[in-house]
Parts: sequence; structure tokens; C-alpha cells
Amino acid sequence: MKKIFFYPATLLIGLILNIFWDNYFSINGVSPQLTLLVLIYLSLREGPLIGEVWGFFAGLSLDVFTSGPFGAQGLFFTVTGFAIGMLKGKMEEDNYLAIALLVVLTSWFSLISFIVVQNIFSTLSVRSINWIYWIAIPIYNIILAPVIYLVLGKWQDLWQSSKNGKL
Amino acid sequence: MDEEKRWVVGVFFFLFLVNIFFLTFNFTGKIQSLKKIFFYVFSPVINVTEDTVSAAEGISSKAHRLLSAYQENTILREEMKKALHWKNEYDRLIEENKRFHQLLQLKERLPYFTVAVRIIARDPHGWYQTVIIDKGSRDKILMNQPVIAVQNGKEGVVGRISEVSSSSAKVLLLTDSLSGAAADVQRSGINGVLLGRNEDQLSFNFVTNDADIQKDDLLVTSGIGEVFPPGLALGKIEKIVVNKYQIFQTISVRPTLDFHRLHELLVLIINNKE
Repeated sequence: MKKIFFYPATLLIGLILNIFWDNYFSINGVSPQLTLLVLIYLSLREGPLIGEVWGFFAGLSLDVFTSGPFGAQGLFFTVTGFAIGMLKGKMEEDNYLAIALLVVLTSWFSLISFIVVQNIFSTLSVRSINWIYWIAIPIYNIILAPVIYLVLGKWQDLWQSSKNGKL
Repeated sequence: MDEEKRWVVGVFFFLFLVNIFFLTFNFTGKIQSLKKIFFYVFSPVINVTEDTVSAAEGISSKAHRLLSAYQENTILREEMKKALHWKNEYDRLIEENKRFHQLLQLKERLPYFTVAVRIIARDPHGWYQTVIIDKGSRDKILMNQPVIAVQNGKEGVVGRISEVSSSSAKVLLLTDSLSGAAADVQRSGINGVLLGRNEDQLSFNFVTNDADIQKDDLLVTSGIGEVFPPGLALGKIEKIVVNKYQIFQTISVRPTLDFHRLHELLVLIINNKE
């Protein structure tokens, strides 16, 4: 297996998990942004190119399953992947506090971008989002982030080792 | 800006513009078609996963229903057992009530003071034809007092008290080989001695060959011997064998009562001298 397949495979699994988490594990309509967490992980580890490309496809894939304008998530994920990828090497990967802050900021940014994109590109204008989402989504993301990063680390190692002929 | 950064920024702007393009022409047919194509590509994967999750949920739900059914079944079985127990208890009480009713009628008819008792045990060895009753000397029950019972509306002698404690007593049944009662044939007045044989039938002894006796003649107590008062039914003659070379006939008697179905008895409080 080549490492290049790691990204689409991760995208597919992340997407499926994201959709099913929304269906089965959301609490009062709030669920963690699994794909976003994966994007943060990949961008921090692999840099802006992987971040923006992976983000682009991940965002568009999510757009397919939403009733929102096609490209909305794609735009947000592309920008986020690029921006966080630029931080590669500038922050320690195991600095959980910094990552948590990044997760919170990204979560808020996703909500802001949702409002902006909806108001510019959709017929449905959104004035505000319930404050619960501003708090609950980042918290949910922070809680899940260590688990996601741990699993992704193992998952990526699997592909790395397969490249070396171990798998 | 080095080559790599330029490349990264270039790709970023390209992707950014593609997204803006999608957003701008979102409602056009081509973009919607593209969205549909993506949807068709992804939806089978989602469907398969959804089916898997649903199946897993179905299994869990079925397992839960199965468990619930099992628990319900267990509860219902217990309730059914209780219901059966109560039904049996109800039937038993009905029968007991009938027997007590008959016993009461007999009690009212008899010119003796009587004590109603219940059989609480039978001889565990089966070697002796005895039963244990739930009343004793505290209830004025003494040795050799006669014990009678009613079955299917027929009253008959059961036996006599053979042992007494304060709260229970032992009744020696008429069928025991140690048991005996002076008896008369009710029809002809022929008298003899009725003896137990440790089996279901009794022997009517000391009846001469020429005595007027027939099958199905009723034997009653004669009142001789100070144990049984006269006139209590003992049994009916079942079989008569006349021996040419002997003085007495061999007579088998079927007791009035079925001793295997005894439950409640009446002790006649007479013979208060042990």
C-alpha cells in the first residue's frame, strides 16, 4: 500500500464516522466535527499543501451530504487546512493546550464562516447561531481531539510502516 | 517566497477560487449535477455502513426483545405456578370443605361429644396401619377412643386411638392386624369379630358355617368391648368361603371407608377411663 492512499482512506473513514456520529451520538443536536479534527491533525503534521488539498476534498464531500450551498464547507476546510498547515513546525505537536486553543478557534471559525457563506451565497440568511453551539461544539471537539489524534497517529504509523514493507 | 511556498499558495488560491466558483454558480444545473455525481459516488458507502449499523442495532434490538421476552416468560411462568398453586389450593379447600360439611352433619347426628381432627402424618414405614392426628390429650383425646370418618356421604369406623401425646395422637386403623372390633351383621344380627389383616380387606371371624350371612351384608359395631359404640358402619361382606371341615366360615370384608383417602376424622369422646 502506498502512502498516497492514506489520505483518501482517511477521508472516507473520517467522512463516514462524521456522518454516523451525527446520526447516532449527537447530544441535543450537537456533535463533534470529526472531519475538522482530522484536518487539524493532518495540517499540523503534513503542512499547508496536504492541509488545503485534503481540506478541499473533505469539505466538498461534506457539502454533498448537506443541503447547504455546494462549496461552503469546501471553502472553509481549504482555508483552515492552509492556515493551520502554515503552523507546521511552529508549535509542538504534543502541546495539548495549544492544540485545544486551536481547536476552539477553528470551531468558532467554522461557525463564523457558516454565517458568512450562508448570507452571501445562500437564499437562507442566518443572523446568529444559538450560543449553545458556540460553547458545546468546541467543548465536544476538545474532548474528542486527544482520542482522534491518538487513533490517527496509530493509523498513520500503520501506513508509514507498510511503506517500509512491514505491512 | 521560495518555490515550495509559492506552490502551496498557488494551490490554495486555485482551490479557493474553485470553491468560490461552486458557491457562485451553486444553483446552476452543472454544479447541482456535480453534487449529485458526488452523492452517487459516496452514498453506496454510506448506505452499506448505515445498513451495517442498522443491522447491528437490529441485532441489539432483537437481543433486547429476546431478553425482555425471556424475563417476561420467567415472570409469567412464576405467576402461572402461583396461579396453579392457588387453583390446587382452592380445589383442595373445596374438597376439604365438603368433607368437613359431611363431618359436621355426622357430628350433629351423633349422640356423643366429638372432636374433629386432621391427619398430619401416616406411618412412614408402612409396616403398621396407623395415622397421626393433630390433636391430643389437651383436646380430651384419650387411649382407645373410637375414631370415625365420612366419605362420599357414608360414615364408617376408622380405628381407635392407640397413643396419645399432649398435642397429637396415633390412630390404629381398622386394617391393622392388631386391630379388632366386635361386629354384627346388620340384616341378621349375626355377630363376630372383625380383624385387620394389614391389607385393604378385613376378616370377619367366628361366624359359624350355618350362620345367615350373605355377600354385601353390612357389618356394624356391636357395642361389645367398650371401645366402639353400637351401630357404627364397619364394612360390607365381600367374599364368603364355607369350609366343610371347619366350624367357622372365612369371610372377607371390604371396609366402608377407603383408608388411603382419609383426611379429617372425628374422635368420639367416650371411654374416658384408660
